[in-house]
Amino acid sequence: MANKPWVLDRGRRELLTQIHQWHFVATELTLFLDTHWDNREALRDYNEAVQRLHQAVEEYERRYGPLMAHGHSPSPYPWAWIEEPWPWQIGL
Amino acid sequence: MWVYVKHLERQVEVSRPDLQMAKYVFTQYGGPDGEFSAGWRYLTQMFAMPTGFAKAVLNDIGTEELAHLEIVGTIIHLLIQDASPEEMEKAGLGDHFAQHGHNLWFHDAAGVPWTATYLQSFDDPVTVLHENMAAEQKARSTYENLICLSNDKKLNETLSFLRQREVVHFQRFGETLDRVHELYNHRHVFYGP
Ligand SMILES: [Fe+2]
Repeated sequence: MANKPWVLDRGRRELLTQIHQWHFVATELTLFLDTHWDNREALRDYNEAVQRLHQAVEEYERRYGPLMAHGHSPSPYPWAWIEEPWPWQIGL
Repeated sequence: MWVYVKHLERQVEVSRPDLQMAKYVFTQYGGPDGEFSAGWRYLTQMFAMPTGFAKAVLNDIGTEELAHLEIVGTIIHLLIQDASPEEMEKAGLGDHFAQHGHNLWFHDAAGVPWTATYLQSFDDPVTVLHENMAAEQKARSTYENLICLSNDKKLNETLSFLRQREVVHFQRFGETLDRVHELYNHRHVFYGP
């Protein structure tokens, strides 16, 4: 029962990498702002990351289906949330 | 509440199946200083924290640890998914295979099951922040040992990322401790509550 990792096409891979990058910036700045709540520069960078992340996620979801369920992303027909690959199945 | 996002915090790659490494990496899934312990330590301690920023730090680092748990789970899954029972047995994962097949479970590198006694919870922020700073250092040391044991460059990239995050978490917990001290000084209660 060999499970070949899913190989994503180049466009999808690049978009996913962008999402990883902006998501990471936002995560890092979230933790930083928790202990530096009056740092304007970090806050500006955080809000920029939020915008860039939204753009990348919107584009990704339009092309490849929802990254979130529970009301946070719409789905085309048929219910696309269940589509593979799930994150742990992907080999780049 | 939590919202699941259908991607990892960082993409995971391994060069080849490696059951010996899988056995070692299990400790960061269900061992004392692993990501499951870390995540639920912070997400449990947060309830009685006295200030907004301490609640936020515990919530947000705890949330990131759950993303790390998913990364560690993915590493182990990729390393063991195609192994035969004989290969599992040879690598010392025969016991694991008997009880869990190719799926994951919460135990350390030696197969010792996870227990809630790995972590502590108090309403005293000074106490829990010291525990958490120690926890982050223990996780960092474990990742360094795992990197020493592995010669898979791709796997080591992911392990190095996880190691770095422990350093950042340690830093944020340290800053939180400083801020808590400031707050208590201000109220003339040094080691409250
Ligand atoms: Fe951590």
